[in-house]
This record gives sequence, C-alpha cells and structure tokens, in this order.
Amino acid sequence: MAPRPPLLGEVEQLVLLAVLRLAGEAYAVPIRTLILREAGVDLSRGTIYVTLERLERKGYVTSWFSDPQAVRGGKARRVFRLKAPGVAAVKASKLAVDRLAAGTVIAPKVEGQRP
Amino acid sequence: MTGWLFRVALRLLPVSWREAVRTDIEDEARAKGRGALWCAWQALRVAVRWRGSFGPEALMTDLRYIIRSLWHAKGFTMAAVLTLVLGLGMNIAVFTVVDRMLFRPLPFAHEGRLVMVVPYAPERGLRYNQFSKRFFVEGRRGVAAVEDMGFAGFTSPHALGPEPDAPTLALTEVSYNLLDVLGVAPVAGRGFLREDAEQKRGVAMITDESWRSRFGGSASAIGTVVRQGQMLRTIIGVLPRGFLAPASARTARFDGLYLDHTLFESAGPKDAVDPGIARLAPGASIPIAQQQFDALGMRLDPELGQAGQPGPRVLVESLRAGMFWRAHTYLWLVTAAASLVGLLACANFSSLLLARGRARQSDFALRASLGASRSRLMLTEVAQSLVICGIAAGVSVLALSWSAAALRGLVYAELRPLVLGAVDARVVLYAVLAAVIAAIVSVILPAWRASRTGLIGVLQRDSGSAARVRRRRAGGAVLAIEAAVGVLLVTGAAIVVRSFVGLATTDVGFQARDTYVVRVGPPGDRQGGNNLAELARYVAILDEIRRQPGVVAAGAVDSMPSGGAAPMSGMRLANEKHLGLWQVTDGFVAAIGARILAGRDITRLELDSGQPVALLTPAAAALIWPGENVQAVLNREFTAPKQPTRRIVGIVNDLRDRPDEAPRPRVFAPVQARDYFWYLEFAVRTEPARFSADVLRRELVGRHGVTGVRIDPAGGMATTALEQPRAQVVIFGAFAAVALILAALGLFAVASFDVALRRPEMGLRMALGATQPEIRRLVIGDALRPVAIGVAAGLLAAYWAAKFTQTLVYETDVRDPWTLAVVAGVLLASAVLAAWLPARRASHVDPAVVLRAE
Repeated sequence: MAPRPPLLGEVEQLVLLAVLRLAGEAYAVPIRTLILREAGVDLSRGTIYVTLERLERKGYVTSWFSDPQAVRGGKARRVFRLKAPGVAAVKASKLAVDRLAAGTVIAPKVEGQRP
Repeated sequence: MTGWLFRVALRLLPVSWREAVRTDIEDEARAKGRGALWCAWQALRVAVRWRGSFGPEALMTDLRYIIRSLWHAKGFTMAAVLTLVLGLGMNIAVFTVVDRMLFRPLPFAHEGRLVMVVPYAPERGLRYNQFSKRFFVEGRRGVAAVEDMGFAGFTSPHALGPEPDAPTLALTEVSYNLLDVLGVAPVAGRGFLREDAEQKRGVAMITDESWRSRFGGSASAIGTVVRQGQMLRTIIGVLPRGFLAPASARTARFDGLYLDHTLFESAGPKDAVDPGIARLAPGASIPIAQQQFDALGMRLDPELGQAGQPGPRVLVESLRAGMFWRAHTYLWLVTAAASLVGLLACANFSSLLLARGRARQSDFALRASLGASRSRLMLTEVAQSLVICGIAAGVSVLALSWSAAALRGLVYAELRPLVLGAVDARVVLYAVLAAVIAAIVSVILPAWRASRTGLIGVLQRDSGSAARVRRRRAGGAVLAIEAAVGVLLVTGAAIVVRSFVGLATTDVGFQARDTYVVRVGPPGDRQGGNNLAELARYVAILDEIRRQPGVVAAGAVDSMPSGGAAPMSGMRLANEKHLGLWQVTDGFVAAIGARILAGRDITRLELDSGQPVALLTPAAAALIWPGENVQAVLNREFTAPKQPTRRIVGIVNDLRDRPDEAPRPRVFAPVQARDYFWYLEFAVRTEPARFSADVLRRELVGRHGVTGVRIDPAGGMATTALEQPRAQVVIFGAFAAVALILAALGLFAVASFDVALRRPEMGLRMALGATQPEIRRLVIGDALRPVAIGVAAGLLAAYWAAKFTQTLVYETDVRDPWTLAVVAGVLLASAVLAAWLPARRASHVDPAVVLRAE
C-alpha cells in the first residue's frame, strides 16, 4: 500500500479545494472570496498567502506568474495549480472525513432536548 | 504620497511574494476606492502574519548559517571573542564594583526623599564631621521641608567578650530615630526607641549578615552583650539583609548600629552632633530644603546675617551623594574609563568585521542575487555580531563568577564591603545589555557595507581605486577613534602612576616597616588602683620588651596611630590653634622611626618624676612662635589653657597623618599618671632577622603575668593612606594596558587587511622599481596617518578632561606636557610596531606572482 499523504489542516483543505475549483484563475483574491462565499469562513489576506506558501513548500501546489492583465498598466498575478500530491492529499482528506462520518446523522443539537 | 509607506511595508515580505501581494492589494484598493495608507496597512498585516509563521524558521536558518560560518572562520571568531571579552569583561567587572554605590537603589524605603545634611564651609569647600547641635535641633523642628532628621556617626569596634583578643563587631553610632527616618524595620528583635535614649540604655543592632556569620542566625543573638571599652551594650535587634551604614564616613567593616543617647529637645551652645540624615516632607525638594536651611543659618547667627555674610551653612544633598561623596568622582572616572575600553573593543571588533566582510564579499553578492533582501543581509550581519557579543559576554560573566570576590581589590578598604561578592541577576542583565549595545555599535559600519555589495562589482573583482579609498577611509576612522581613546586611557594611567610614585616617596616622618604594635590587657584590679604603680607596671613591661633580641627601639604611647599618625588627644592654644598631643615614654620617637632634629628625647627620669617637658615638631613650633627659627625655640617654655607649662627639650621631624596631607603640628610629652581610665600601647621597632613576636609574647606572659598580649604589625599606619592611590594605579594601569593591546591589535588587523587588499598595487609598484624599504615606509605611513590624527584628538580630549581628574591626584600636574608627549610617543611607537608585520609582508610581495594573478 502506498504511503498515505499526511492529513491536511482545515485551512489548507479549504485553500486546496478553492485552488482546485478556480482552475487556472487561482490567485489570492479569488481564493479568499470563494472560501468566504462557499464555506462562510473569512480568512485574512495574510493567512491565504502563508497557506499558499506552505502548500507550495510541501509540494502540493505550484505557481507561476500569469501574463499581464489586458488593461493599461495591468500586472502579472501569481497563479496556483494543484500538483499530483496535492490532489492525493485532498482525496485522502475527504475520504477520511467521509469514512468517519459514514452511518452517522449529523444534526444540530437543540438546546434543552435530549438526543 | 504615502506610497512609500506601502513600499516599505512590502519590503518586509520575501521578494518572491512582493509583486503578487502588491498587485492583489492595489486591485482591491482600486475596487474599493481605498488610498495608499490602506494599502500600507494591508501589506503590514500580511507581513506580520508572514513573520509570525515563517520568522522563527528563518531565524533558525540564519542562526545555523551564522554558527556554521563562525565555526569555519575560527581565527576571526577567536580574535573577536577575545577582544570583546577584554572590553565587555572589564565593563561588567566595573559594574559589579560600582553598582551598589552608583546605580542600585539604596536599601531604604524612602530613598527618593532621603537627604544628607552636612555642615560645610562653601568658601573653603570643606565638609565637617560634626555640627552645632543647636542648628540640628532647630533644623529638625523648624525647617518645613524636613519631616524628620536623625544622624549616623562614627564606627567603633565592639568586642564580643571580655578577653582582649575577642572577635569584634564594627558598630556605627546612630540617633534613636534614624531607622524611622530611613523607613527600615528590624527583621528580628526590635529597633531603637526614644525610651532607650531617655533612659540611657546601652543597646545595639546587628546586620543580617553578621547575625548569620557570627550567631548562625540564632535567636540567642538577641540579648548578647558587646563591649566598647567599659561600655556594655545589649544587642536588641537585627537589621534587614543588605542594610548599609548611611554615614558619610565609610569604614572597611560594618556590622551594625549602636544607640547614641542624644535627644533633640535642647542644645547648649557648644554641643555638637554628627551630620544629619533627613527625610524630606512629601513634595519638598533638595533646593527648597537647602533654601530653608540657609535661612535658618541666617536666623541663628544674626550678626553674620546683618553683615550680609553667610551664617553657619549646611549642604543638603541626596543620601547617595552624601554616603559616597569621597568616592564619587573616582567611581565615575572608573566607569568612564571602562566605557572607553568597551568602545575600543567595539572599534576593534568593527574593524575585524570589516576585514571579514571583504573576505565574504562574494558570499554576500551570491545571497543578494538569490533574492536575499538588503535588510536580510544586514540583519544577518547584526545577528552574527549579536552571537559573538553574546558568547563574549557569557565568557566574561563566567570568568567573573569565579573571580568576583577578587574584584574587591579594585577599590580601597572603606568601599570594599559595597562591592558585590558574586554575580547576580542585575549583573547578568547588565552583561546582556552591554553585549547588545556592543553588538549594535560594532556592526553599524560593517553591516551597511555588507548590504551594499553588488554582484556585478564582485564578479568584476572591483578593486577600483574609489572603492578602495572608501574602504580604507572606514578602517582609518575606526583607527583614529582607537588611537584617541587609547591616548585618554594611557594618559589617565600615567597621571595616576606619577601621583602614586609621588605619594609613595613622600616622607611621612615615621616608618611602619619592621615596627610592631604591642597591646597588653589591663591588670586584674583597675578600679581604685594606684596610678603611679600602674605607670610603673607599663615601664617594667617596656623594659622587658627592650631586652628582647632583635628589638631596636621601643616606647609607649597613649594611643597608637592606626589609620595615620593622628594622636588621640590634643590641646588648644590661647590663639585657638590646635596641637595634637601624644603622651609618650622615652624611646617612642625612635620606635616609630622619627628623627630628633635638635635637642634630645625625653629621659626616663623626666618620665618617672612627671616633669613638664615636651618635644615639638617644626609645624607645632611654627604655630606657637610664628616666624621663628626652629632651633631658637629649644629650652623655651609654652603653655595652653588647662595644660601645665612645658619646656621644650627637643625638636622631632614633621609628621604627616597621610602622605597627601600637610604636616600637622604635634607635641610629645611624658605620660602622666591620671585618675581616670587610661591605657598605654607599645611601639616596637625591630630587626626582622632576629625578632620573634612569639618569643616576645611568651616572655611577657611568663615573666610578668601579663594577660591578653596582642602583637600586630604597624603596617596600617602608612599603608592605608596609600591604599586608594594604589587601587587607582592597579585599575587605571589595567585599563591602559588593555587599551594599548586593543589599539595595537586593531591597527594590526586594519593594516593587514589593507595590505592584503593592495597586493596588486604593491606588485605593480615593485615592478616599476619601488624598493622594499619604500614599500614598508608606504604601508607604515598609511597606517600611521589616522593614528596620528587620533592621537592629536586624544591629547586635546585629555587636556580638556584634566579638570575632572586634577582633584584625584596628589601634587601632579595633569596637563604636564612631558607626560602627554610620552603618552603620544608610546601610542605612535606601538602603532609602528603593529604595522611593521603587515609592512614586511607587503614588501615581500613578488611582482611576477601578483601581476600574473591579475
């Protein structure tokens, strides 16, 4: 059995999934916006950069500078894309959560009621 | 406008992210209509988050890099650490010496409001030990700025048992309210009470330290009786740990306090008390108190007041200044000298870093081209300097913790109890602070240089003349500073040594060498004894002493001089002049090594029959018969109130209490049997090869049944006076030696570095026909130029600093041109020596080899 990639942190998981979904358009600003919209988590700008740097150091993502934007004075952006180990890590992470949650009903606990 | 703030904040981020973050933030700012300030704030937040996540990691990487590179450059590391151990170590050592006196809070609760009120004569700059009790009482009652005032006076030994060789405690006399004034409570037993003074109880308190060392901290110490002569005093309490005698007269030992019975109700016109220690009322300041005391002086002495003259004056000063006034300038000078040595070490370290920076240029350039920012390069340099200074401070503190006790030798006896005996948290904190300061001061120039290294320049092997001149200027400036500081320190040492030699060779009029003081216990029954028989007993003991082998001369005196040559009693002439009076036996003058200039010594017959004769010193003769030839006063008679008329039979050479003081007027007269308690001590001058103190003791005990014989060398007399100057010689000599070594090392490093840099130039010169001596002259000349500038600046500074040092030395002109010239010569000579080796190396450059390498 191939060695299982180490589990991801919560923020790392969110950022990796965001990079996966933004495919080719993944740079810091849209990543942050997507996570806020879909997960309701407001990560600080710094956290996004730090997490991206960490993921890149782990070899899960890679980055390059895009062509300058097609506007006057447009600048290049640092765009991210998942690498194979990154994809494996997201899969392993999701699988772990799914297996653990199998057969359970996750319902919000209501105040004053016994389960 | 505030765009630069944004740019600065972005620079805190690694290069790889800077552009991306800038674009993101600018986009968002445009979308939200925010300004540059907002951008800067956003960038700063990102930077803070970034440093929080990756900072420690980066720091560890840097540290690993630094330690690795220091390990590889062992020579550089050793030289730097050694230099700094000398500089920092000296500073830390001096700190442990001066801390209690200059910086550490005094162990009193109300320190900020405590002042010393010292009687003084402003027109003569004199401070007195005693002042009018009336003034004191009025001041305590009538000066609004003063909440309460007490006093502390002299310290005297109190024996722990009746036998004469019993151990003693040095106790200081204080008023009953002193502890209240200071805000100090006893840790065991009780303090002094007003009733103790009213009922004239003999009571004493001991320090926590002597409680532990003498009584093992046992409660039985309370109630122990100590004795000062016939006075018995009971120990009633223990002072808190670290308590210091708040007296202006400092003593070599301090073991506690004893109560003086003075009450502050009333005062006769002639009553006197010790200088006051006052607690100011809240809100009152020293100038206000001074004004009010001045006004009181005017009021108490209306005649002087009306004549517009100052009345009796007191000086109000902070308690710290009052306690340590005698040592204050000395301590600050020592601190200043240590700081100079520290500065010198920093300058040296700086030039070592510069030299190493040159060797590591390509390393810098490589790191810069791989994306290390300028700030990162500078920070690495700072961190490297911090690591080295940290190691040096650590080594210094370790060395100090082994030798802290030995540091007491750096100050004279009366300050010794105030020197910390060990390294404590404050010393460590100071060491850390000193290391950080040294690291930052030393690294400024090298770090700036390192950060300016460009890849292109290095790759092109930029040794263009402009760059070289810049580099040499930096080294030259460091050298000039070193030379100037060196001149200051060596001048200080030279002046102190000259002053010491002057003192040590001053004839004090007596000799302590090979002289012993013999003390014997009293006979069993002193009360109501026959005084003539008592005198006869002393004379018999004296004769026995004289019969011992190796005794050259012996005589007895009513009180043997201990600290100087000051006698116990005195007489006041009708013209108010004061003469010191020694009551002696025949032979005493010879026993202390004084000479009879004219006439003769007292005879045994005159002693036995109590004849009123006397010996005078020339200083005393000049007081009694001003302006007359000393020889002419022989056989004259003189008298003083309450004194018999005495006939002068001889003139003894002048005697000085201390080598740095003028001769005092002294009279020697035969001992008279008196009807109150009295006591004689023997001065015994010996031939050391034949004399044995043990034999003398055995003989005295065996033949005369004398008890409690104590035989001590009389060394104390003259040596205590030399102690302070000797301490100065040791400490300033050490400073000067370290300064010279450091300055020479610094010059050597800079000259070597310069020669290494200029090898191609030397090769070219030699190829063009320059001879070896010419090359040597060139290198030495280049090295000497900044040194000469520094020496000139140092001489000017020494001339200016003279006004602070003049008071510290004895009959030495601190601006003596010869001294300054010799100092300048020594500095320049050591510079030539230090530059000689690099110059030789330069002159041995082989033009063929060097030019081929180009």
